[in-house]
Amino acid sequence: MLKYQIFFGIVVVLMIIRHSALLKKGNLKLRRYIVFLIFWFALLLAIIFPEETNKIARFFNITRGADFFIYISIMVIFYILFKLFERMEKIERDITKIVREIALMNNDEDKDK
Amino acid sequence: MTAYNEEKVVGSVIDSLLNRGYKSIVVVDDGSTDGTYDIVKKYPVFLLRHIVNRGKGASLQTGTEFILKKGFPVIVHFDADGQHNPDDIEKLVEPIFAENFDVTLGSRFLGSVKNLPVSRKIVLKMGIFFSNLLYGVKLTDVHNGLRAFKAKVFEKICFTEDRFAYASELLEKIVKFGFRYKEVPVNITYSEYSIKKGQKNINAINIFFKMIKRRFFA
Repeated sequence: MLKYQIFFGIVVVLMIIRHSALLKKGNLKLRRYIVFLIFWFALLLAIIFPEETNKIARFFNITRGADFFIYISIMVIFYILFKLFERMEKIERDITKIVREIALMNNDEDKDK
Repeated sequence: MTAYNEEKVVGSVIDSLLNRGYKSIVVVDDGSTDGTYDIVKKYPVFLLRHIVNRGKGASLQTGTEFILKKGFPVIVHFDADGQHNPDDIEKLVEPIFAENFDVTLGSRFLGSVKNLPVSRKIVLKMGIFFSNLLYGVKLTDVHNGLRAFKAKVFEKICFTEDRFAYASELLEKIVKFGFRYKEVPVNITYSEYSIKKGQKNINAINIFFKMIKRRFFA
């Protein structure tokens, strides 16, 4: 086994342990945990058997397995970014609603005094 | 009127409105961290306070909801940074009562504008061009904060854009709901203070993308 395989393998195992701990504490939904688990196991397999990824890559007419993983990673990162922006905008809208409600309520209270 | 950290000028702006006999003034303090709230509190106006800054669009929506509750028939948007002329209010309101317009939009390019920096003028003109193109209108000014409405307009229009993109959203909804609108010449005087306090030119890029998003993906 090569050095990079040992290093990245340990990182992936640590990530699986971390996500499992989060699930146990109730800080991670089961559905999301399963998605992460599939992702980490796929990555682990790609690290242990790098030649096998070439086969998958060639199926998509990409020469190297590493390139295939980079394309997939970029897509996943952009998807996560998009979801984060979406969630952030919703939180922003919710904050505005709360702030507005407080402003209108406080005005009513001032009037009552 | 919405105010965010306007302690230097907000008092004189309110004074100028009160001196002209306007009694129903609603000020939304948008989470100011300076003395704006304490200054406005001394005046005989309706004062609402955002506990944190949420932006001009959000503040106008808060003020609007308050006004709808109060049952005032007409709403005028007026900037707190002193660049608007209170004498223009009458010119804006008059077509609403006399000619039954739903909305009157102040246009600095039909009226007059003093001390407008060239860079801001270019950005404004580009904004006008794109807005006219996107919404199929023929306006001479689009991001002018001085405007008047029949209050009932806001039974249909609700600002969802918290920041400055609200102005494009407003135009989009005026067109969408088929409100009768008219541009009215107004006089704007930029000061070093109002330029510094107003929206940054770079923000135009953000507004442009929001316009595209709203027009084609909303």
